Amino acid sequence: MGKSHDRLVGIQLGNEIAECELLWDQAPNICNTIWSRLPLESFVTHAKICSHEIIFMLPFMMEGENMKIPKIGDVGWWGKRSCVNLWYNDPGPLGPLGPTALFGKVTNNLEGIEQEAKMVWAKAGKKIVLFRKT
Amino acid sequence: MSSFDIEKLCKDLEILFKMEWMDRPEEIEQLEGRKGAWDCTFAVHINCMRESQEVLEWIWLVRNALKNGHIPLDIAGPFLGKALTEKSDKIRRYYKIKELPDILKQVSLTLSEIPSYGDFIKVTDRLLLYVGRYNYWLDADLDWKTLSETHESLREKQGERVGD
Repeated sequence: MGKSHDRLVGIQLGNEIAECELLWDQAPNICNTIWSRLPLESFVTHAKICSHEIIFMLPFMMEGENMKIPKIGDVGWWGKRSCVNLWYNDPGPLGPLGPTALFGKVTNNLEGIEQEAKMVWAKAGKKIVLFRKT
Repeated sequence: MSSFDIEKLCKDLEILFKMEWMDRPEEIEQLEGRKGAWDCTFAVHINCMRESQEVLEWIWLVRNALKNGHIPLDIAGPFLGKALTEKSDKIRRYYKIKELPDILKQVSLTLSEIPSYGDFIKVTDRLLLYVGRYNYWLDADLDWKTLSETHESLREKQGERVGD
């Protein structure tokens, strides 16, 4: 098992590219499943109750692990909807909605993701690509 | 239901899911023109989205109840089968679409006669993915920002609530 910084995931949303560090020690199964399937592409929608959260489905199912309350920059997995959640800023008065299977943390250019995410609220369906950065 | 039929159903679900992964299902485009009360297309679209979300909840609930040993397979199969039949019929009648209710109907028939735990999980996993993607397409087509802003602005202008 590599160290977190050995295997960074790139997140391309619109014109922005951010880096996500995987939490191999805390969510090894989710990290391994996602890492082994990269690159992955999907489209993004915005959460409706929790503020500042974008969502994108991945084409497989995984069990949850490392269930924790998310903070800004966290990346999680929601098994019921087979989707990744990314909190690009404060989750707002009604959020976060509960513990989520956290498996990553955006460590670079979260502000770029925020800019693009605001556009997703106005128009969903923006393409997102996850790829191996290192 | 023979294991061959279940294999074929799973394969069909996988093919459809892959086809629609980055391409919107055709019938969702048709749905955009469906007019409801007072020619309101938004109400039809958002209700269809909510309906498909309910389908997901049902599948998830029963599948997990079975996985966690809260209900036996001979209850889970027919129960979810019945729920999906009802949803299939309702979606067909209300929204005049075909693909989604056809798939739900096909799976409901299979679940009613499901031969093993493994097959139940296999079929419902694929159905969750297929319906999940379908639901995301419906979600992505709605302009939540404009809807939300319009709603807030009308509330401010009207300054009244039902019953006032």
